[in-house]
Amino acid sequence: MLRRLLGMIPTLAVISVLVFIVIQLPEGDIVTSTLDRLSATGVEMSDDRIRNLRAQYNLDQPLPVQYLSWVGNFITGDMGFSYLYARPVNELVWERLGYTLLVTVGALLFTWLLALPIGIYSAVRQYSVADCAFTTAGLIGLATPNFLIALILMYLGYTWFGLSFGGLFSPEFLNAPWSWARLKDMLAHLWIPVIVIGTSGMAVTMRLMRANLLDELRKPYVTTARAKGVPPLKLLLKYPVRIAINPFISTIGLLLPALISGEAIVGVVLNLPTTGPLLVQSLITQDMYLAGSLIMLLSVLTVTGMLLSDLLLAWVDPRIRYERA
Amino acid sequence: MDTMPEQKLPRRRAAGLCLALALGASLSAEAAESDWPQAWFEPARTASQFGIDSFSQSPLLEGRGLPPVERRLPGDPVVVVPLESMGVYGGTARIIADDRSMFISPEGLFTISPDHKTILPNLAESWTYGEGGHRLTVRLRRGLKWSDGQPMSADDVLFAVNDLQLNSGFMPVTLPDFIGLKLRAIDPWTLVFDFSEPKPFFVNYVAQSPELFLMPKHYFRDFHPDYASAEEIDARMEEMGFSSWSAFMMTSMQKRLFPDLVNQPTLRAFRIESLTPGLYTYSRNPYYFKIDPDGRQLPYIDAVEAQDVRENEVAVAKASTGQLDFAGVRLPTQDIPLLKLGERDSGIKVNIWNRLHGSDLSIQANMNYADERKRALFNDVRFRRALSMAINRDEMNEIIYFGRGTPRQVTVIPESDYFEPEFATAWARYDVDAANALLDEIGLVDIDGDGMRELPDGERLTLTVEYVDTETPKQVSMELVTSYWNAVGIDARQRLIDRELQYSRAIAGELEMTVWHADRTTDILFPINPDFWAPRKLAASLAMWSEWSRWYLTGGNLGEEPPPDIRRLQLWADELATTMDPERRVQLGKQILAANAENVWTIGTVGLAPQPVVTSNRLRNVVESGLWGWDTRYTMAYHPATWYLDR
Repeated sequence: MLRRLLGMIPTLAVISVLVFIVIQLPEGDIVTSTLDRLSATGVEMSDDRIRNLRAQYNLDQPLPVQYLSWVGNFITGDMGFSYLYARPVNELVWERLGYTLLVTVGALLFTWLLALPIGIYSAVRQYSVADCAFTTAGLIGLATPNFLIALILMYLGYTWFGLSFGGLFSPEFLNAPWSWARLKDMLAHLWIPVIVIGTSGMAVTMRLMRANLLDELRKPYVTTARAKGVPPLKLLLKYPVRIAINPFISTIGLLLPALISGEAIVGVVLNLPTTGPLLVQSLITQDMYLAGSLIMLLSVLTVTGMLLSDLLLAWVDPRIRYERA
Repeated sequence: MDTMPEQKLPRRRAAGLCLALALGASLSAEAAESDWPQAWFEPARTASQFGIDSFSQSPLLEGRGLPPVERRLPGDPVVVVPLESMGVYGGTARIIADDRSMFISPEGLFTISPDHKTILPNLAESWTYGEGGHRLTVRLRRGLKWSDGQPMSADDVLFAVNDLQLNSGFMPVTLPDFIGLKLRAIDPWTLVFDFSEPKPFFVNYVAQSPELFLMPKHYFRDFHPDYASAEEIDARMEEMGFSSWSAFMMTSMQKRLFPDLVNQPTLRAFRIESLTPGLYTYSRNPYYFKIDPDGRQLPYIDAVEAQDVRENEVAVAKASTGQLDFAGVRLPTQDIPLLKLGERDSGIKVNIWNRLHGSDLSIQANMNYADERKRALFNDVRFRRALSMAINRDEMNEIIYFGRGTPRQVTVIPESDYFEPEFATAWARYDVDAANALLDEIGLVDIDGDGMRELPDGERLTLTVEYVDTETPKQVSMELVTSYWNAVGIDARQRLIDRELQYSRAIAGELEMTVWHADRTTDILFPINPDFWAPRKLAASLAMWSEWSRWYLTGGNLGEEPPPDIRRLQLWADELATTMDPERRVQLGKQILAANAENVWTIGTVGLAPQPVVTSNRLRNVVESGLWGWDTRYTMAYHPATWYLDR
C-alpha cells in the first residue's frame, strides 16, 4: 500500500515534465494567442505590441525557471495564474468544480441506472426484440457525435419547452441567489448535458454488462442453482450480476479524471460553467499555468483513481484478496 | 456556374446558398443614411445650446442615496439625438460577451462621425492644431465624472500617456504613434500635445483608440510604482495573482473580463457589476455625461447581461431564436439565411450591415521569399496580375455572399476621400485568356503535358497558401480561388496553419503565400496606418514584404533595401501622415493606392461584405445598416447609449 503511494511520486514528476514540454512545444505563447483573440475585433498582432506584452507578463524568462516556479507552486497548492482569464487558476477551478461534479455525476447515474438494467435484461433475454432494440439505440447514441446530440437537444429544448440555449441556468437565474425557482430552472437545463454525456457511455456500459453476464449465465453454478430451485431473480442478482459488475468497479478510478475533462466538448457547445471548456480553451491558447495545472490535476486524479479502484475491487471481490495473500 | 467546383463546397454552405436564393427578396432592404439625425454628423450640442435646464434620471436610480442627477451630470451635458424616437427607461438587454464593446461604446476624448471621416468632440469640447501641426491643444468639458463619482480631468490623460504609454517600464517598445510625443496640462481642463513632427491625424488615433489615452488616475495610481510603494503594489498583485503591476495594468487597459474590473471606474454608459463563470452583468453608469433632447440622462437601458458564448453556432442559435437583443460579432456571413428563418417567429430583425474590409481576403505573395525562383515570380507584376485575373469574383460574391458583397481589389471604401473607382476594379476583371497569356509570356508553360504549368527549369510550379481561417470566410473563399488558379494551370494548394505560426512566420518572412483580411480602409485609419499598401510594419497580417518593412523600421540596419517603386510608397506614406496640406494629402493617398492598384501587390476578392447584425424587435433606435469594423469601432458613430427596450 505504502509502496504504491510512493510509486506515484516519480510517475507524477515525469508527467509534470512531459506536460510542460508538450505545452511549450508549439510555436508562440499566450501573448500571441491573446492578441489573436483581440485581433478578431481589430487589434493587430504587430511586432511592437507583442514585444511589449511579453515583457509586461514576464514571459521572457528562461524555460527551466518557468518550470520550476510552476511545479514548486503546484506542490504547495497554488496552481498559478491564468493569463487568459487574468485570475488565479485555483479560483477558476473551484468555482467550476461543483457544477462539473453535478453534471458528470448526474450523467454517470443516468448511464448506470439505465444501462445496467438494460444490460442485464438484454443478457437474460438475449436476441429478443427488446435486446435488439436497446442495442440499436445504444449504438446510435455511441455513433452520434456528442456535440451533435447537444445541438439537437438544445434545439428541441428550446422549441418544446422554451429553454434558453446553453448553460445550466436561464439568464435571469444566472446570478440569482439559490431558491426553489433557481433549482427548478437548473434541473430544467441539467437534463440536456446529462443525457448528452450519458448517452456516449450508454452503449459501452450496456454491451459490457450484457457480455459479462452472458459469460456468467452459462457457467455450471448457475445451472446448479437453477436446478436446486433458487428463485430466478434472486439467483440472477446475487451471483452472476455481482461478478459481472466487477469490470465496472475497476473503471471507477477512471471516472475521477473524467470529472474534469469528460464533458469538454459538450461543455463548450452547451456553454456549461464546468472545467472541461476551461481545459480546451487553455490548450488552444497555450495558457501555460491553466493548461499545465489542469493536466497535472488530471494526472493526480488518474493515479489516485486507479489506486482507489484497485482497493475497491479487492474489497468487493474476495477472490482478488485471496490471490494476493 | 459551370466552373463552380461543386464537390468542394461544404454541404452546409451549399444548403445556405439555396436558402438565400429563396430568401433573396427579403435580403434587399437598404437603409437610408439620410434618415440619420443631422446632429450625428456635427459636434454634439450641449444642454445650454438646446435650452435644457431641468434634468431627469432613470427611476432605477431613485432612492439610492446618489447625489441629484444635475450634480452627477457635467456642467453642460452633451445632448445626443436618438435615431427614431425618445426612449423609455428600463429593461435588461441580453447580449453575448464578445458584443460588449459594440453595445457599450468606448468613450474617448473624441468620437467618430457616421460619415466615417470626420472626428467629433466627445469628452473634449474642442481642439486646435498649432505650430504647423506640431502642437495639439485639447480642451476638456468641465465637471465630467467617473462612474464612482470622482472628477475626470487632464490628470487622467497625463497618467495614461506619460506614466504608461511613454514609460519604458510599462512599454519597452514605444508604440509608433507615441514616438516623439510630449504631453502636458496647462490647467485641469487643457492638454497640450507636442509632436516632433506634424501629426494632423493624431486626433483620429485618439478617437479610434480611446483606451490608450484615458485611465482613471485616482484608481490606478495605487498600482503604479511612481505613486505607490513597491511593497504595497506587490501585496496587491500577489492577492490578485498577477506577476507584475504592468500585467495588471495591461489587462485593465484591454478591458479584459477579470474580477477587478468591478472596482474600476469607467466613463462608458454602463459599468460592470458582477462576473460569474457564464455571465457578466452591467448596470447603468449613474454619472454618464450624455442626455437626450428632453434632458433625460442616458442610457435608456438599465442593465446589460452579457453571456459568455464561445461557439459561433451557439451564438447564431441564440440570436436566431430571439434570445439576444443585439448580436453581431460572432455571426458569420454564411449564416444569414439561418438567421433570416428566425425573423418569421422569433421576434428578431436581421439587419445587414457592411463590413468595412476593403476586401475580405488580402491574398499575399511573399516578395521577399527565400526561394529565388518563387521570389522572382512574385516580384513579376505580370504573375500577380495573372493570378488576380484568374479569379472569378462575381461567382465568389454569389456563392459566399449571396451577391451582397462587392467584387474588388484591396483598397479603401468608396466613401473615402482617397478612393477612385479604378482602384477597386484594376486587374479584377475575370479574364482567363488574359491570365493564361500573361503566364505564357513569363515562360510558365506546361512542359510535360499534364495540364499544369512548370517553372522554366522544368519543375512543377506549386504555390502553397498557408493561412489562419479567422474573422472573414477565408477557407471557403480559398477553395474557390485555388480552383480558379488550377483552371489556368497553376497547382495551388492551401493549408490551414496555427495563428502563432502565422504570426512568427509572417514576421520572419517565411510564408510563401498567405491570406488575411484588409481593414484600415476608412479615412479614420488609412492616412495614419496604410499598412496594406506600404511596407512600414511587421505584423501577422502583412506577409508580402516583411524584409522591406524591417529595413524601414530599423533605419536600414536589417532587412532588405526596397526597390525604388516600393521605397516611394514608404516616403509617400510618411508624408501623408505629416503634411498639413489637405490637397497634398489626398494626392499622396491616391498615389499610394494607384501604385497598389497598378502593381497588385496584394490580391483582393470581395469586399464591403454583408455582416448580419441581429436586433430583437423590442430594441429600438438601432440603425438598419451601418459600417461594421475596427476602424470606426463598430457602433461608436451610431450612439448605442440611445438604444432602448420598448415595452
